[in-house]
Amino acid sequence: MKRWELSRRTVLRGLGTAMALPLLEQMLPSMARAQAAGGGAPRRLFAFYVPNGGYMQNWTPAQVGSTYTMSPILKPLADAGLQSDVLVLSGLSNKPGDPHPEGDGDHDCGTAAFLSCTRPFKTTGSGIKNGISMDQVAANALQGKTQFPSLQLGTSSTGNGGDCGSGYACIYMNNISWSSPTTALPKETNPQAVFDRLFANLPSSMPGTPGVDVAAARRKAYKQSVIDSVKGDATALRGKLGRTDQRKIDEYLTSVRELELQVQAIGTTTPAAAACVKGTRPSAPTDIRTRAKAMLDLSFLAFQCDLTRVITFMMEEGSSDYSFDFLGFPGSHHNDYSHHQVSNYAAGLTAIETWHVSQLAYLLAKMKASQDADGHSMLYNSSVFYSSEIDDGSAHGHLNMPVVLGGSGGGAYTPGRHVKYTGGKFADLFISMLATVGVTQTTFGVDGTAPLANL
Amino acid sequence: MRSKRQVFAVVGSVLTLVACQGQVLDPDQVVRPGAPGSTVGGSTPGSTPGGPPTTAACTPDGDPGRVSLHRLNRTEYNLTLKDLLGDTSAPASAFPVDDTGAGYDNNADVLSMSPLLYEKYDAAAEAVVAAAWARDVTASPTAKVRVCAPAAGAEAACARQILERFAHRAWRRPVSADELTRLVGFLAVATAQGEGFAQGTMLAMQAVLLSPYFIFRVELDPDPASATAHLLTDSELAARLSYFLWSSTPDDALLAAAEAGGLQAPEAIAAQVKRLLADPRATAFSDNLTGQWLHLRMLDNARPDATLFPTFSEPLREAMRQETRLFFAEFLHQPLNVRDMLDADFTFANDTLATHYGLPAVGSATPVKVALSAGQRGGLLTQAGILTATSLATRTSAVRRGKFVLGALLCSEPPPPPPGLPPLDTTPGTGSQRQKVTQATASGVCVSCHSVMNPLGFSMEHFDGVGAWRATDQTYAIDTTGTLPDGRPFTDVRDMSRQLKSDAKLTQCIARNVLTYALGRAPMATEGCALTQLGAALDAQGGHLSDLLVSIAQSPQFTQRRGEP
Repeated sequence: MKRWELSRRTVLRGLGTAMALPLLEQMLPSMARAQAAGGGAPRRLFAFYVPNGGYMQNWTPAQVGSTYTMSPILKPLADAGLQSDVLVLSGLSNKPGDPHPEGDGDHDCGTAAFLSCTRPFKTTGSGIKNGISMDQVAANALQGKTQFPSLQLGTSSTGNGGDCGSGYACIYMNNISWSSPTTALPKETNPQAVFDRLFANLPSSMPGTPGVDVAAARRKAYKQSVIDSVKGDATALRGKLGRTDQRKIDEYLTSVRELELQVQAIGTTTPAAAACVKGTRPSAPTDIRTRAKAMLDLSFLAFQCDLTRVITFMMEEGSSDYSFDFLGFPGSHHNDYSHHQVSNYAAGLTAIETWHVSQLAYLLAKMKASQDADGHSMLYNSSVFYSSEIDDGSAHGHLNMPVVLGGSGGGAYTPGRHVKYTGGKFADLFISMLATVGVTQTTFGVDGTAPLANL
Repeated sequence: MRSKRQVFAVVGSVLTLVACQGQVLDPDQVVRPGAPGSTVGGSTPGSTPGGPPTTAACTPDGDPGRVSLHRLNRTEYNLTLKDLLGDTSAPASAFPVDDTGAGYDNNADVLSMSPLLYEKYDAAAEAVVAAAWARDVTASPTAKVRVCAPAAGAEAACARQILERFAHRAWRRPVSADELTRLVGFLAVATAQGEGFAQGTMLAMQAVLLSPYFIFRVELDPDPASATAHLLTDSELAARLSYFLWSSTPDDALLAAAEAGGLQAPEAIAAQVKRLLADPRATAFSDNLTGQWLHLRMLDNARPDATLFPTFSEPLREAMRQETRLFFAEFLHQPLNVRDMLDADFTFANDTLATHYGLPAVGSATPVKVALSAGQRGGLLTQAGILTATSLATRTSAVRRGKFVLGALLCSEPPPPPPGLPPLDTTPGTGSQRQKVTQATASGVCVSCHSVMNPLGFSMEHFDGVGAWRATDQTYAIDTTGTLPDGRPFTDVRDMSRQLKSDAKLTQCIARNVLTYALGRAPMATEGCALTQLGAALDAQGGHLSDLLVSIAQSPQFTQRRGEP
């Protein structure tokens, strides 16, 4: 890969001196810069979930290879100049998302298996069981490198009353991150809360301000004392409980431990976090557009400040009924459009999914414009997985999933192509993605057996 | 693999046919091939699809089941802080949404813990403790927390007094001397940082609110690995009662009753149920049960199309919500038969809802009880909240409405449709909803379930997507006639409701919902008999909901538990 390591003279000739300083850094050979920063640039994972599958007629590009025309739905990627930064992967399956032969529940199973490649145990309540999700395997491996091992973000939490249908508890359709087979990690849907959470522990004063922060030291001591106390309670209680309840206390202790990591970070900041610009607190979102944009802005910021390297984002939830009035297609996305219950369903699905892809393009463009310490773009150093819980929104299969992979995984992929697979699997793709963040494993989920070829 | 799947598919459709034809649509009897698990909804060995519901005496198997460690859900957390500290900030409203299991968000099995959630608990504990401390006037009769003034040099004594009382109420049990000593030890933490009594006591209170003894409702087994049933302690039972009826923590009277002993006596339980129900906090039960059993929370997500339904507004949405809640509460508090919920001649409306219903204005912005003379409305299935929650954004859905009747009222929800359905033509001017839905579901695998479900929904076709009366569907005449699952004909929703109200399954289904909510767990496959008995007892006692609540609170499921072998 040829990067933009320009000669110093070329730049100085062409630009005013005011621009020269920041650019001088870019001209350092990437290796030297990486060493100066104490290592290479971070590798990052982002999983972008959209509900209700794809309208495949308008999703899949007609040609394969490196010279192809973007499909109508994927056009926002080309419009944003990102065609050379993404792989469109056709023919990948996620068979664990198929609930058969136990009955229906493709949205439920497909969402649960979206990143776990494990078929969830069919239950409306007792005995919830899925598999650990790909993002959480990465988060575990990266534990301690950033203040937040991972973030779970979304645009809505419906918390449906009644049954999520088909005999599956709602937990399966509302979550894609699973830290263990029994623990789904809920998503934050309020951008203001995400902002507060990300930046609460950054010093309020400018970095380098002299003097000891008494308030921070005190806060740290107090928080730690409370953590010690509740850990004592939980550990003593654990010994008196049965298996299932012990597991719940373990979830609790894991959660306390994550807060403890944040408390220990009070008053200390990583170089990246100290240098990052935390920006302004987002205003309260008004609808899905402002909410999605705010979440993607915050994701970008969290990556840029190296507060986390693993993010999952759910656009709505499985079987979403969101009514896209602003696109001119009112009614339920799921019932009316993806089930073809309205006569203009094709136009509606195309518009909705094109809008979804435009949100992906928005994030990727920001990542592409941001430079990492190694001289590459943030996008180059990342893997952005984009897909849905089912393949065709009407057929509800799990065989020909709509997939875009953004970024180069730090040089692991050769983007700019449309690749058509026979027998390719999500789980194999995840093995490849995990390798980019330093997790080497030969299996994943129930059907991952090897890295995915031809990335 | 494929052939195996096809075999299952064939078996499945045969059973579906059985499940959807005739009067029996019992979820216990919908066999799902290959479905593991022991909860109701899985296969029930020995059940006979097609047979009538048994009313003969049956013997519950004596297993009280076990509820896993129950994390307070968002509602419970907010209400508990309100009762403990007088805090009305409802911090949990900004927590991640609780997941739902077996139809309810107080299902202990799905109430998991996550780092994000714990962070929220941490921030909330800090905020509510500081606010409570600031609100209190030291040692005044209104003080929730600061019940004493620290004497110079004897701060620990006052801190001990405050913390013993607070932890006792927060943990719903007496606090041990050792626990108390550790809590008072937070004074030293504050002193080491140059602060004192107030900061130290507040830190200890945060530790109380972040402890698993507060965040979870802890119930212990003498032997966690034994399947032998045992009675809950009185303190544990007190917490079950208060979270059942108030979604909140026991009050001082209930704690005192528990600690005096004897709460397990059936008459003591009955007395507490009546006392708790008479308290305003019991609105939590009406709100949370109707929100989930009757799908009222779905109303929050309804987005009726503004062009097609210009009269829909947020005040109207709220009036719809209030109507069904108050209607349910009336059956809870008055000596009414719960079966009459299906054809009651009264409802609750404010001016907004009265206008929506075409009734005379009631002269009130808050809902009042209004009589309904014979006419368009009467009973649950004519209430706009349910009608809207079961509609789509642009139109009614007879299928959803029919499914609601089968699922919520008869606990006989049909299996979901297969994928790959052809479009329902919604072009205006090409036929009524009834004609289109009938045509789309008339063939193949659809017909077995839809022939049962659709007519129930068609009966409500005079009510549009926001529950307003309409004389016609566009220009088409509306046909509300149909037949019940057992073949009895009806003319419209009111006639259907009058017949449905005598269905044996109605009270069993209500009992199933209330028991699921009361326990915070899905019914077990072995509990069919207990549910039959609860339903029969409800009928035998005149159908009073409050009696059902007492029966449930006295049941072995509620008063006992066991370990997990």
